[in-house]
Amino acid sequence: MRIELAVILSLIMGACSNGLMPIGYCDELSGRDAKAPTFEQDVLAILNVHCLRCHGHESRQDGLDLRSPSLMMRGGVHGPVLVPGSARSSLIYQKVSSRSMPPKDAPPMTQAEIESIRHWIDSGAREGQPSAAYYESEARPVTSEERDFWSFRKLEPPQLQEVSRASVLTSPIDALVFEELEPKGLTLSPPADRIALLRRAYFDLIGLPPSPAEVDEFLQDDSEFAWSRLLDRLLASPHFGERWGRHWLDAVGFSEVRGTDYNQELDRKLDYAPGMWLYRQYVIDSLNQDKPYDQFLTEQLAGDELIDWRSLPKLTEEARELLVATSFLRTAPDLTWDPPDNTLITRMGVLNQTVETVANNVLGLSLECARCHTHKFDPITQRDYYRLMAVFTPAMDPHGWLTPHDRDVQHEKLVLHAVYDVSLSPPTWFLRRGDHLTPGPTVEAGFLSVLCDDEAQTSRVVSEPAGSTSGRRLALAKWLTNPTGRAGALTARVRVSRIWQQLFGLGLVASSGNFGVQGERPTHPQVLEWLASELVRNDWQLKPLLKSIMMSAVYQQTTSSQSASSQATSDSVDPDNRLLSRMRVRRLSSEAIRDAMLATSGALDLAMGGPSADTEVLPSGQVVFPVKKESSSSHVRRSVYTLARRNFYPTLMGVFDQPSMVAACSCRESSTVVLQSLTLLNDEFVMEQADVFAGRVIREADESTESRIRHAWRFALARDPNEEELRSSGRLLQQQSDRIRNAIVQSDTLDSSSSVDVSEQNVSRQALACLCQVLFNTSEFLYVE
Amino acid sequence: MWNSLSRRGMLELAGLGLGGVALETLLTGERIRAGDSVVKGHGLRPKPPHFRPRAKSVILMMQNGAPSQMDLFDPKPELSRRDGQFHVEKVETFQKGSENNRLAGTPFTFRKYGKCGMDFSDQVPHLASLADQWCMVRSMHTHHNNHTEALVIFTTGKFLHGRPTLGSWVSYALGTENQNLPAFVVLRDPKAYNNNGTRLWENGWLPALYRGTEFASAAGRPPVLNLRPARSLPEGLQGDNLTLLAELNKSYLARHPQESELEARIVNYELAARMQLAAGDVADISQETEATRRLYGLDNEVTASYGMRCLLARRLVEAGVRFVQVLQPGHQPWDTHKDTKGKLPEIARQVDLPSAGLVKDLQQRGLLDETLVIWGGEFGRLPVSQNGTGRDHNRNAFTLLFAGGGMKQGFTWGATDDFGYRAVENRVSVNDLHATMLHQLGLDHEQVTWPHAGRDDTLTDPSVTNATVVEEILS
Repeated sequence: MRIELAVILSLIMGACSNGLMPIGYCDELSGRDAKAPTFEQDVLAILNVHCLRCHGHESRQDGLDLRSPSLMMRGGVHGPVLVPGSARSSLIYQKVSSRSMPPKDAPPMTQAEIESIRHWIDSGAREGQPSAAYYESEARPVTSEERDFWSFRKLEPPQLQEVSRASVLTSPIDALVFEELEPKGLTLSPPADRIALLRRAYFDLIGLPPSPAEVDEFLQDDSEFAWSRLLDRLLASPHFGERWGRHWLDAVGFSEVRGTDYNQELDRKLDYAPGMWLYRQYVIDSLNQDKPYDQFLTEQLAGDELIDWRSLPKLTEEARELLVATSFLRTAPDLTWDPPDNTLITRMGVLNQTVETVANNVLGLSLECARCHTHKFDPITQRDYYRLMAVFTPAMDPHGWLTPHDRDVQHEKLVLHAVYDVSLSPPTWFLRRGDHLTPGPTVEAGFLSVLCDDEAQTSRVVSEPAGSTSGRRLALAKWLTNPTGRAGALTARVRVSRIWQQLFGLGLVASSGNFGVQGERPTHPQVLEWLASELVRNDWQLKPLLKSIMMSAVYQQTTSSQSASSQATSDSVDPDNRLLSRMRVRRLSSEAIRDAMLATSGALDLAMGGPSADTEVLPSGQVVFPVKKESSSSHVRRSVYTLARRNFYPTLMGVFDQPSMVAACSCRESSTVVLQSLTLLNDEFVMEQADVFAGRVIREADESTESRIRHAWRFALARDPNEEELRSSGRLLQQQSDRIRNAIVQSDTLDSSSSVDVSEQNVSRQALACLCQVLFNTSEFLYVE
Repeated sequence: MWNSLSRRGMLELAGLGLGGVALETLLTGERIRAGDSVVKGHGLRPKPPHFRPRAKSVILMMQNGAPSQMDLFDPKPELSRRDGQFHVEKVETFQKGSENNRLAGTPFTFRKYGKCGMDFSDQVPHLASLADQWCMVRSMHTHHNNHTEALVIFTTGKFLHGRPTLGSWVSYALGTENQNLPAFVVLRDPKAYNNNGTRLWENGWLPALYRGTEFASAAGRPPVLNLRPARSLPEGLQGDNLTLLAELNKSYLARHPQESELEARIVNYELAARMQLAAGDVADISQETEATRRLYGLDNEVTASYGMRCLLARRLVEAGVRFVQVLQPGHQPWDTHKDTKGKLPEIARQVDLPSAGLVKDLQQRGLLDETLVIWGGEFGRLPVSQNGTGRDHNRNAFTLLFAGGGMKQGFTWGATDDFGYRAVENRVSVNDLHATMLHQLGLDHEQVTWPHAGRDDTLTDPSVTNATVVEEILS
């Protein structure tokens, strides 16, 4: 069914056409008695105390909503309750003056309060005009200068033929980066060595290290297409989605906990979201398929509006997938499943965070300020904020709220955490100072003015959804992904900047969550513009874009400075290497560190998909994967499949900056703290994997010490040790064997009943485990060059 | 008590002798930049304050959930007299259940304690027994009525996430005296996070160096997760491992001399080695006397867990840690929306004795003079009843306790209205509290700055918050 938005709009406007326009949008102040009482000044506070809980905020008993004069005139099941100019004819006054309202068990109104209501109605039941200045700032029009800010402009692909040195550089990216370097006296560094490149590509694309066989294969391929073929193979790997899906899951605040997750004990029955792993699977699969970004976004914002799922006798696979996609809008912590927390303010909190996640993840803008007042820096008005919120209220109406469990859709044995419209056009109020106790006028759905060309575009929230639904979110998705518009341009810029961030450690816009006025300017504006245009040109597909970046000389640069003089130049003009005159050394992410240890030891279970691997909080506070007695290998699966708690993630991952998922995270930290060192030295998992790794080396190497050292090196660091490293590793094995042998002998004499394995095999395996653990601790293991 | 690494073995580790240059870099953070400007002279080396300090360190005993002022510290006879009546002023609520606006007197009994005659209810007899030590401020108020925001205000000054917390500011401003331990340590209940989780000790836009380090604190366990090898190792084994590791990491650094992070990582292994010793010592309470253990309630399972955190706080401050943040038991136990009569005594019993024990212990060791102790929550509770048995949130009034650190003793400041709803006399904002805390550390709150978003930002941002040092409560 096509929803006639025009009809809905006229309904809203109709309610306001009695000379009682919602405040702010018309000018009828002139000639008014300045002393006449107004709704906001004289009546709203009284109604708040005595009436609105049952007739407005939490419920609307008898269909009656008293939050504004226009709503009073619309009335409830007993008809309108307000007749401006005549208190005696107004049902609301009759009820309160006869003391039949508020009900007997509630605090009574004082005589003065009843008198205030009478006086207000008799003098015309005026709505207060907020001061002109208030609305000028909170609902002011956005100017064309503001729309001209770099990130709010339409896409302007750079003219490549004007780049003078394009011919000597291998890709447009190189030419455009060089344009930034040259004026500073900097240039690109030569390519990294092949092993560094290989590790870089593996970790960047699939989040795993290359195996020794894969290293050999690449090193032996001396064709000029070796690199290109490698990238193609990695981009086609199913593990690509696990790596790149994780980036997306960060940015949406993915969690399998419904609430805020501050207690170690997770309430598995009520607080755990049993079907959220389906969304993770959807994200991973979508990235593996290279689903175009516009489609990917549209499904997540409005999958339920793409198919008339409610009319289906049984959910099809496609319908199920589209409903799962909308779990994107279910990531904000939602405590309303717990009745005492199911309050208007908590519901508003869920809605606010959902709007914020969408805006921040897709547009790189923070809207939080605009909840309470027009943004101080960005041209985002408070009115814009509530208009955007109105896009979501048909699905998430604070006044007609569904608790998380009620919102879930049961499908066979699966629980789909979907979002879908529950009413077609609920009123959405502009909240003065962001406070639900002081609602202002209702607003119609709209987009952000600064990302529209004019007011007509801002309020054109129109789409052709399938089924009985408002189509507002579908319209939002179309607006966000229209490549010729301002919003679509920003969507593309944010996407490519964040792709760049994953490959270079820093986005083209370094302030990943802020592309607004207070954010940083792009380090390479032309590169950003070119890539954003390329993304659109490639039908919003990521993989071709990734390949073109990784084929560039910029990506393939070495991380080392070439000479003292070039180092001196870059230190003085670009000390943080923001312009990329060499590649940045980057620490692996928390998942990649754990996965790399498992891959190196050979214990990694690469099984894809399905429910999460469970975690357990020990009495010490340490969070671990419980090792199951049966043959389950879920504790050695890839880290992306870890039970996604908001706070209680495995300690090993926590110390390496696994982000808290209480809110979405657009850019992870990469810290260097002492707890990382302690963890890699002492953690049970690390020690266990070092031991498993030692066992693997013993199996695959021949019995010579040198062969074992070489194997260990190749598994962990993808290269052979040099002579010095061989020598010092050999020395370590010798020393540790002696120590371990002595310790065993000592403990054996102390306690002859223990069955200590004194065999040389055991001694050398334990000594080898020491070397293996040292390798896990090296910077070379933890970083990609 | 943990395992095999002997003290001698640890000292060997500590003496690895990696370049002092690297350590210097970590401690002075030379290469760390904020935006475009280099901030000179920051790092963890001790730094002189702006003027003579009254305290060298801070112990912040956070009571997440909002302890009820009219049931603990702020007696309201008028409220009890009018118990059950409608309140004339419609109070601001957060949850449902208080719409009736009916006043609720305290179910507990107040009396005066100490020479100064400070009021406490019978729920906190041990805190009360220190009446002549406390400086009680009854006129606190804050800006937000929800825990999440109010806690962020309490720890950072504003309700938006992402600003540096108190401990980060203090570590940045003063550095720390013990280079073998973190400057800013957090002791939380291993069973739960407080509301906001780790955000309450984040460094915000200050360098990560100043982030709070979480110490575990279950009795009888190492204070830092993974402080000791999970498996028993022969003596000296780890030392040899570290020697090879340092060699490999130094040669990797030599290939990337411009990466200060790689240098910091080498230094961290040194620090890790030293910390295994120093942090172990800090947590080794085997030398504490029976009397001390009782003082903290370690002999009683109700108080043992929180008591252990309080005892560790003393030991950390003693060892030169600058800022210790001790968190309450559980998630937000003081949040008594219902059943004040049953729930409040439950949490008070866990917290009362160890909190008082800490202050007494600091005093008897002569540490209280140089340690500022702050005890309290993010806001207060309402005078009206919620659902007949509890109290909803109240940002307009709450009570904080201070001890040591040059605060007046046996002194009560500020007052609320007859019902405890609103601070009316000598109001103190959370930002005033922050300014005062920095002042006692010898710091001018307007001069502790960090370049952020185009200006020199401060903890208190006085041009917006009007934060002022509360001179009247200083001795």
